[in-house]
Amino acid sequence: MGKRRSLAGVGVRRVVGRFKRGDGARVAVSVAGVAAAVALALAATGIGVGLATQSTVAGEGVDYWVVPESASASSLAVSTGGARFGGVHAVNADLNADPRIEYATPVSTEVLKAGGTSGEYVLVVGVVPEAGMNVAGLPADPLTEGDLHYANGTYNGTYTGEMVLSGSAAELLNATEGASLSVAVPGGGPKRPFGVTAVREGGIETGAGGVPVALVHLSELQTLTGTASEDTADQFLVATDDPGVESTLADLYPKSTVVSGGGDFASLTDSTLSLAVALAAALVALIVGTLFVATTMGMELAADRAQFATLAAIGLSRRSRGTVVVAQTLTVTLAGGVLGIALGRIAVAATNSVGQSLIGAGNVAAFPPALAAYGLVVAVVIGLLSAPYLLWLSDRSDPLEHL
Amino acid sequence: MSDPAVAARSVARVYTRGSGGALSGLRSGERPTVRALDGVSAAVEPGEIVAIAGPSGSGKSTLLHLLAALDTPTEGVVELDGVDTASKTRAERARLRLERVGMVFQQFHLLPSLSARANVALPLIELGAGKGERRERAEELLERVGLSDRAGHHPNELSGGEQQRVAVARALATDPALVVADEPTGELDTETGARVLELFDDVAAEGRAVVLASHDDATLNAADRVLRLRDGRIDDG
Repeated sequence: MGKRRSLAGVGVRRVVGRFKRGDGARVAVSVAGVAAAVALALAATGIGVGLATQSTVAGEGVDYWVVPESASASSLAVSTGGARFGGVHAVNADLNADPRIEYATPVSTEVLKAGGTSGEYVLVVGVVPEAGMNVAGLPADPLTEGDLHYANGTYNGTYTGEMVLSGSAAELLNATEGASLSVAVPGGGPKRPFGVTAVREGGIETGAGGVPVALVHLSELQTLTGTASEDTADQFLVATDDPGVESTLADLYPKSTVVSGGGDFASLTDSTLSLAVALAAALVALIVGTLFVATTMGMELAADRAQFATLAAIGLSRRSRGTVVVAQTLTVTLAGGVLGIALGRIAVAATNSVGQSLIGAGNVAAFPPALAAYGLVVAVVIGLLSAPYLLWLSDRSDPLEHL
Repeated sequence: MSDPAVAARSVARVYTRGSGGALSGLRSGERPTVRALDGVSAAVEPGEIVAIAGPSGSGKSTLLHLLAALDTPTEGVVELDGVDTASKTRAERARLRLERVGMVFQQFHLLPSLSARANVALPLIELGAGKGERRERAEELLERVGLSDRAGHHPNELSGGEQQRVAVARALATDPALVVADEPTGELDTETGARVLELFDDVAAEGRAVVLASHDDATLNAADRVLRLRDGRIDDG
């Protein structure tokens, strides 16, 4: 182990020494090639991550959605109309009694008219608020916890009229905290007064900007829309750290689907498109990076044949010379990886900036910390893929020919 | 008389001209061949300095390569410290060179990214010596060749003579029985070359066999014995 480490040290010093002697042009080209490949992979994956996280309406910490079977993953939390669950308050009480669940809420979404006589359309989201809950990008904390108006299904409990507005909804309605708003079912349907208890940045971002969202108590929305008699909602959002909950959720309703996900990087696996983009980018990066490193480092080794012939002549084994070559290659690709991570971060920022200025979208791309680690992995794999060719080249350095 | 450190018995080395015109080490075949060495016998005793002389193309380097186990003969036997080199695989010969042969080249061939100390210690890594042991041995050898104050310098910071002395120190790192040098003073001025030759005297005085291939009269004069080659054969005349 000590011997391998020492030989690897020789490889590293050969790369560093090149730069110190001002003779590192070819090595610099290798580093730049890997950096470009890694940056490409990270930028493309960052866009995939950004798009994937925008497609979810729920906030961070929500790990499962339970939706009726006719709904699709792409309609999560904005499925106004269509199949609905019934008796949701009772089911929700059972879910919240489960110690594995941080919080759960039925969610009902309706596009309603809010404001004065003319009014503006906003997406009204009804929930049963719990501490720490975040739905549709908005915190439910400003709403009174629980659902008082529901009152064990009588719908005679205290009507709070509380509402949390997203920044875009407040701007659209020209409303501030404390303002009173009338919310009506479109087409001359019933209306109810609501008071704005809080305005929070967040909400739902789409490629065209923010969707105006208003968060209210579920029973108050049900009363307004006439769905109180069946106590219906479109879906359940369940926050938990325990994957064992999934089977419990699957049994809640006979015709339902449980979709896992959340605001974290791991949820990408639920997005086929994002995964495809990331895989394609990784593949391109690996091919381009490997070809680049194999070519430029191959030229480097060809120029250094006398040195490798010397190592062979003085008795270093093939394996030991290989260790030097692999260490040298990995040093170059890791340096390229670090540079590529920095470039990838810049590319993601540039993409967001361009997206914002051209189409007014929010962040199109994201750069979670896991992407940096991913960049290093890509760089190492490029090094390992190039290594066999470089080992073969170095092994051809015959002392009889080159000394 | 002790056993020779290295001995060649009736060795021949035949190269076959490859299809591209280059010489390759094939041992038989229909293609044109070049007989670089033909029936050469020689032995070098411990403590002896033997020079190999002869015009270009006479087979000096070929004989040196065979004695150093870098190559194997087409005919005959080369025994290094009693071991028939042709009976060994490529990897085994590398180990044989590591343990029993020190090599010095005309153009020094030090690794430019490593300090003088690290260059000297390089063969010791292969032997599995620890860092402290390598450092101690390298500094001891650099002191012996008069470069203890240059241990941390890189080859580009050393003169040609200093680089060759570092190369001699590297050749001695694994305490070999045989030291071979190909034109060791070829790149050096007369005075510097003389100092390097004194080093070889010291090396031989320690009981090691030294084989020097050279055109240079000063080098030939420093040897105990000179083997003159002409057209791949020992020139007795």
